[in-house]
Amino acid sequence: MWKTIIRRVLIMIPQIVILSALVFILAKLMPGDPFSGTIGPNTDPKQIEALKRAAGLFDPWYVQYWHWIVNLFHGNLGQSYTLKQPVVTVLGNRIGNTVWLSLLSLIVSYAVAIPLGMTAGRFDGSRRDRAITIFNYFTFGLPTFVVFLLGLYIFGYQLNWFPTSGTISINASGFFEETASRFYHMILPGILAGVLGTTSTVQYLRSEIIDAKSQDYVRTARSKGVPTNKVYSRHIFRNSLLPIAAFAGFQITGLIGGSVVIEQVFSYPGMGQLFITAITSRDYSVVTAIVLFTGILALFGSLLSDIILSLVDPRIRIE
Amino acid sequence: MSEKNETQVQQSVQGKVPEIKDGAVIVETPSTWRTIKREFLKDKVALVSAIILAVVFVTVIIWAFFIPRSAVTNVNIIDQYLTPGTQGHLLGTDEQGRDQVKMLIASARNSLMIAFMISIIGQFFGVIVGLITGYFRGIVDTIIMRVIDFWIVLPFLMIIIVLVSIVPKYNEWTLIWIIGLFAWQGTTRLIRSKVLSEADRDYVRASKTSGSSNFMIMFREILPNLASLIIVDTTLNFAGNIGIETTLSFLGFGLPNGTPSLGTMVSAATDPTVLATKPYVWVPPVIFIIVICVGISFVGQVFRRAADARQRLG
Repeated sequence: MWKTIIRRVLIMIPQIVILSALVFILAKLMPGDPFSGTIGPNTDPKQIEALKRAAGLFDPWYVQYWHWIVNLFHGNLGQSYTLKQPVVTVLGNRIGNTVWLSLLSLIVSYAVAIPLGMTAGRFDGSRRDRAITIFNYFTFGLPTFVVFLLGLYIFGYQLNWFPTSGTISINASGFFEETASRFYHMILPGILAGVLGTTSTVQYLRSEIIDAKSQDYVRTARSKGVPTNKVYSRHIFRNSLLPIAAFAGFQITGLIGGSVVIEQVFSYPGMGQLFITAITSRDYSVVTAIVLFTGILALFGSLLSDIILSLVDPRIRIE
Repeated sequence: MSEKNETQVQQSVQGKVPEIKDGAVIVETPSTWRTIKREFLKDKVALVSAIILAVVFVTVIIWAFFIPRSAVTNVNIIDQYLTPGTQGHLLGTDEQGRDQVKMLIASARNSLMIAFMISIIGQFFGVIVGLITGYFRGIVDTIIMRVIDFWIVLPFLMIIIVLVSIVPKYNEWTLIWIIGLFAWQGTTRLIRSKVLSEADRDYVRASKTSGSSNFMIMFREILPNLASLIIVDTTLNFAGNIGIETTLSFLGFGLPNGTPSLGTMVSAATDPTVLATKPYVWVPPVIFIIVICVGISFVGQVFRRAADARQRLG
């Protein structure tokens, strides 16, 4: 078991190296350099040239790459051109919002998907199953931004149930009130993102349960006289749920990657919105940092999923 | 499988008239088209979606020919945000005073064409790489699959946006290729797993023994057996690609200015006042996207059921 985990972790190393190289290439392709923001009408071009030389911008690419990596490990991701702050500080301000929103979406997603998948699998071929399948086509086929916009229009602007932008209201004061306000701002985007994220879980759970129904252990349980409800809630559910739990890693990365769209629609100041603002204002050091960070997070997500999966299902251990 | 389904299968087998030839009973396998037709007749929702889609596609493609370029490029601020029905504008006008109906048709044409091209590119590379890795296996397969495992977890939306904003001479084709870069990995996985099982079949072995070249076996013998799988995958990817293109255009990183897209039309709603008070500006393209994407996924599911005998309804 430990061997598998160690092997899987070792695979991460080349992956992170490749990812960092990719991001570095992207960063080099972007116009501008760390001094573009400091140039004013009174700066001497020669001085800039000297600064660039001192910063190693004329070094060969491998030297630059090495310096970049060393800086990364020191937590130095450069300076934001537009905000005039270290990129780490800028990111730090936004990350919390994205993480909380993703967490809420994840909870909603499982809370909706598990009962739906269970029902569809248990009563497959029934009218309920058919309705759930149709619901699944909708969540699968629709581009997310369309749903977010309609949700914002209906529940935010027409019914006035939820705030339409931001993370916290200006009037909130005190810890309790602030937390409540933050949560209130997250509900609508969290629910919408969660519901749209149910597709694969419902689909997977449904087919797992249909498969499990004809398994020997289920037949044994039934012939022992275990009530049907209990067969589903204890025997089948546990077995079918484990692989679903394993996909949590992918779910999280999917949600964080998808934060670009949801945060843009709901004007929610998280990483995704920061990414869009940074790229429109050509603040490339921020863009690079976000892409690198999200990429590493995604790799960790798939690592997590693979480890859980190999714990749960011995057949897929890496040899 | 539930009891009901089992009896259905038995009935459908009995229902066929067995043909007696040299004493053996031969039950004719229904052709792919007949299977698809039967699945459509069983699934009324999908049938309706297919009809709607056909009507919409034909209308859009033909009508788009009759829309002059000036209708989507001319700016007329005086006619800004006219409500539907005024001055002969059936769906009103947008921020630039352009007729929404014409914009909708021109945008739909562009979005559909772009998604179609991306699907073609994605399927082309996906199928070829999948065939090669699945057929030859070995070290090449291991390397390519590791690369794909890695590629699939990358935050592709962000990378596409970065590429879109740094590419010089940006136009529709660069967009198509950039999205295409991320559109083939899923297909490769799917095709590879199917080829892995096909390559062990007797017909492939027989062909090898009789000296057919690998190329012949891959493209003349295995590929036709993947046809139904490819049709299903292309249909579902097509819907997905419409989603990606419109999402990018909505965020402002999709089709360039002057080439209207459904996503660009919806992006009028990023202005809170338009979103809240002028739904007639952004709701029509939203409905259009919903109809197209959901319709395609319904039709795609019918193809899937037709391709996989275990899932059939009829």
